[in-house]
Amino acid sequence: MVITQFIINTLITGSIYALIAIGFSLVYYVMKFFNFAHGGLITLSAYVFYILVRFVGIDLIYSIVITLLLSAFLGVLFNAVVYRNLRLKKTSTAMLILISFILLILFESFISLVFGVDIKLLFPAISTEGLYIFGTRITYPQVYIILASIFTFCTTIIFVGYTKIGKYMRAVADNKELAEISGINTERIFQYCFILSSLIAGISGIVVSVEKSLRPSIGSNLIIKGFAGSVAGGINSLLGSILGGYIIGFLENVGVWFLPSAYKDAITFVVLFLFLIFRPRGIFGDKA
Amino acid sequence: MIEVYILNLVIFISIYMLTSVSFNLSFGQTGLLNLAHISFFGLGAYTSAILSLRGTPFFLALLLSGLMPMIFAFILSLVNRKLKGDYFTLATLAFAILSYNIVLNSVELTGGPHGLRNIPKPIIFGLDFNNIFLYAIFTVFLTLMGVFFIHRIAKSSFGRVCLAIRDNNDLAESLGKNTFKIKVIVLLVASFLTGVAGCLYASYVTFIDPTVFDAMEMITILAIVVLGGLASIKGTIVGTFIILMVPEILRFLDISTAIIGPLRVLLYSLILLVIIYYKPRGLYGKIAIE
Repeated sequence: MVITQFIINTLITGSIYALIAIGFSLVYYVMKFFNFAHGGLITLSAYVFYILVRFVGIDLIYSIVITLLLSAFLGVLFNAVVYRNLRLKKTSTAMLILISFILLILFESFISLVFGVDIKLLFPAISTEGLYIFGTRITYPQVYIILASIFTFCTTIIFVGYTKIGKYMRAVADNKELAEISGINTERIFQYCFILSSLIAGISGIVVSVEKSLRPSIGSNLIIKGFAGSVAGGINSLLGSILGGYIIGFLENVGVWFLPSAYKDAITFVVLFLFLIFRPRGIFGDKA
Repeated sequence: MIEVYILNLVIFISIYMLTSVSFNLSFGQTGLLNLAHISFFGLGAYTSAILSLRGTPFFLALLLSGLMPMIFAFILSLVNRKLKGDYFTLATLAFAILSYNIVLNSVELTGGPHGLRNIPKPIIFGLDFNNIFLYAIFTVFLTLMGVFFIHRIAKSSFGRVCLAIRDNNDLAESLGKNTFKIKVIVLLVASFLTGVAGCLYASYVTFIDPTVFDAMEMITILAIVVLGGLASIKGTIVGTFIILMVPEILRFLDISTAIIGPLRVLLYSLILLVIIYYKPRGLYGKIAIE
């Protein structure tokens, strides 16, 4: 009973963290910079989905499609308007990271301005029905979260591993200059990479707004778990990032047994920090 | 009344100046993008508040509020040992956001979201610093000392090695410089001075809540340093005056206080993007952001 509850909690938290981790590490894998703005996109998607379902009242499936399209559009827009020009100016990755941090804060303050800073909740968890597995209740939205995450992981890994564009992405990730020489248009590959990562951000946003209460800072909070997950699993490995996300979810759920809940977040930091110091390439990564 | 308004502004400008000049030492001079700089400020503020509320003499509280952030700065700087600066930035952002959550949730020590109230103002040598004029002189004096100290570091041979590390870490290392050690020292100095600034803030406003830890506030300091220009102390000083005038102008525009906070942050982020895009040297910077 306690064990099934624990497994289900770990699966749900882990799925959310793993979704964030894979979207975040995809950009790092191909473009070699930490895109903190990913967190901003997650928050915005979560709020947009919330507004569409709660106030516009259109069909759930249309809300999902609109949220994903908007998120992909914004990702492409930021890549084309901001990052692309800076890359052409040979801006260092440190500065791209600074810009992505500024964009994250820009998203956050924009959301506070438009939607307000009060907490918003899409589905009150108690009232929804659910399945019973060994006497433990799991709500239908939570089942969908787990299924949607698994679907996203499989699609992403198949896309990057077995399609032509995915092959180009891996080539660019491996050696950008060499890929350019062999005739790959790296800017276009970066564009595809941003579309994919923003779609994942959109999915993460929808999942977050279903499962968690929304605050403007939720994206920046969750992205920390995401990158703790990618670093633990291996930031250069997509599969590693997914497993890393589940590891962070697992450790957090273990931690609440031993620690006061105020220090739950300290676990994430300690895991991230220990990996950075002692094993920067993560569990499954091949090189740091 | 107008004197109180001006003195209040002078105190805030001094506190931000000390924080920003020390951030410029780590970011502008050495190239260490430390997004936890604001957490060091918050750590200083909370250390001095918690100690002062328990009756610690002011100077001891001031010293400890400088030393407390140094401990965390040292731990964070260990990331620089093997990895390049990007990972350091990642770790510091994680620290900034998670330390905010921890301060928000550990209610017994920090008062949680309600913060700490009635922090006593210092009484030094029988002088009561409830007098805003005295407090302004004291703050300006400490800020000038801090800025002068950083100015001396920046102009010394140590400061030039810092510039070399920022421009090319591997080259500096190949010339026999222990770049890791230099980065640690820079972060320790910057965190100490920021902690002191936090202490000055806490005992001036006498009330602090977790927003002093908010990673969003990092934008203010970034805006000051980037507007002034990297590695330019003069730039940071001028930048502090300009950036801190923005909320003062907003105040006169009759905007509701609920949106003035996010609006200010939004404006700072836009200012930052515009400067990085069109004037990457800032006002007085010798080197462009690149």
